[in-house]
Amino acid sequence: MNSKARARIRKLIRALDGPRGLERLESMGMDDEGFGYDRFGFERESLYAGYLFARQLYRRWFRVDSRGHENVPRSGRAILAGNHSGLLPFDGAMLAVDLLEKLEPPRPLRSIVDHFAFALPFVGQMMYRTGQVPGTPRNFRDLLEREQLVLVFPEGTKGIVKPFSERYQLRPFNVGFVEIALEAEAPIVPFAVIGAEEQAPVLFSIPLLGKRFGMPTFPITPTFPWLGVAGLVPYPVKYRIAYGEPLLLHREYPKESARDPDVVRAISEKVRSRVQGMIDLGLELRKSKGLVGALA
Amino acid sequence: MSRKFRVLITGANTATGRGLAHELYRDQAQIEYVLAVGTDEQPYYFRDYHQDRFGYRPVNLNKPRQQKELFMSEPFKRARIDTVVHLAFLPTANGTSEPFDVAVEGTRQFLGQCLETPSIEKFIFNSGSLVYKLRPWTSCCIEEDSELNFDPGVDAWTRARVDADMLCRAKMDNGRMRIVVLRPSPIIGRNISSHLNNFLESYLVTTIAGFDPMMRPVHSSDVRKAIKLSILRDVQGVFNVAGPDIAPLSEFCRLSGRPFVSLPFGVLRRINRWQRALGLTLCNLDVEPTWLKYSCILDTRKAEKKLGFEPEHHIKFG
Repeated sequence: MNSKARARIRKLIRALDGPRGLERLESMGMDDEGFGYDRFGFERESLYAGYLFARQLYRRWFRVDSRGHENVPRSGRAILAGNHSGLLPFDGAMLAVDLLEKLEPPRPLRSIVDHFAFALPFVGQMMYRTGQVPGTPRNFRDLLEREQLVLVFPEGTKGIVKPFSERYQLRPFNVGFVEIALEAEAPIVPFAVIGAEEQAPVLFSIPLLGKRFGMPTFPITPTFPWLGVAGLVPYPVKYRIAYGEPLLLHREYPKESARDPDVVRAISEKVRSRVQGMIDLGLELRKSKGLVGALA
Repeated sequence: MSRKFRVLITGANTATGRGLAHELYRDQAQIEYVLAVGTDEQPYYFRDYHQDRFGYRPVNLNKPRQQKELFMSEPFKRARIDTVVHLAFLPTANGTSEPFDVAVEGTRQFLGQCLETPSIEKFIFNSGSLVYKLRPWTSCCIEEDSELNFDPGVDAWTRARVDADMLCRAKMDNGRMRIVVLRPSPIIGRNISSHLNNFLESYLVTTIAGFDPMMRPVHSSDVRKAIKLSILRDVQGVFNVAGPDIAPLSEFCRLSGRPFVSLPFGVLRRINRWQRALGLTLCNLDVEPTWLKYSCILDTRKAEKKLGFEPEHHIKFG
């Protein structure tokens, strides 16, 4: 982004949120390598632009209701781990907006994303600029080394394409994030997103067709692919986000336990059951059941 | 009293070779003698150098007989070379008359000759960041042990560079001669014919629409500094070399001051062929164009720790 575009975005934020709003966002920490980018390609102004757009969805479309922010560290390395759903990763975007809106000072959320997205023109570039990185162990470690707040969806892409009939039933968690958390002595903050699992009900998937398009699978929903790209527009479900108490692994386990597969698997299961518990509680608290409850 | 080195530089006619030869020649405290080897007759810029401290020989290293003659020659024996800096290997995908596999074979034989020469204690090979495999799943920071580009579909020039790099690595445990492989990021500098320098010197710079990879180019002065440190320090191994500036490609395009446009890759490739045919660019985008799509930030921690390398020169144009 050139300096004129950067200035325009700042001007827009000042016009919308006033000087205090801009000042608040500017207080957000970032490892600038000298040109306004960090080494992963994250650019403050691109995040602002994304935030201005996504917060309209946050406020008006998904009407996000969140709690438990006191569990998210205000500084230092940490991992957010929770459920993933909804075909397109609006859940990740809403979490990022939520932390920009509710944390003082706001923290940018660095998501670990499946690398297929980075092969797509414009999409990959937008992801890099807004702070997301391809899911490699090295990237993950580097982000934690730089004291970032890292978002992972341990279900992976299996989570976002699970059939509607299996909504809110977590897929098995990957274990890589636990290994890295142990090595880096980073706390894991479990979270649950209620609502996203109903935003795009997947009827079934065709993995072979997905491979043809360079995607993990090809999902079929009541609207996609029948309505084309418009069929990917999510239903206006209400999001409820809850952040749980952080798991301070380094207090219980030494760094070396990262090399013990049994310990790693057990911790991963522990995180999974915490998230599942939070999901079950969130569903209980939701007044109406089914799609009506999701929309209300 | 500290030890003084006697250095042979191949590719002395290239911008890096010329600059390095000059710097080593001036460093009387640490360098005793420089033997420069180039493909052409002795160029004008070496003529004023004192014969006691500097020698020049025209040798085509791709020709085994000429190589042998170099090692058997009286000036070479008199020079008692202890360090070899091999810069002559395919600096650019353009303008070479030798097939790439011949160049790899030339390097293999040259390395073998160096191993057989008892006085030579160190061999420094200037490789490059293009040997790394860049894909969407590549980590943003690339370490020395990252995957190399062994893709069977890769072009012959890149394959030759990977082969030469691997040749040097394979001989590292020879037990006698220390081998250093330097892998610099794309080099920026006057008269440098790196892919990025050629790209940014095009009359119209064309990038791939929808991609703007992060880069960490290095100034030619910093590359020379890394080579010199490799000569002086007691080291062996592979080292990444990169500059202090990290930014997307578009920022460097802006800094270069050249007009630039983003185009779909198919169109861009055709335009690049036209540009080359008309002499408007030296950059060949038929050669491994993934650097225009995916980030390549070399991790230089190993070079910082073992070589004591700290980049100094920021990228400037004009």
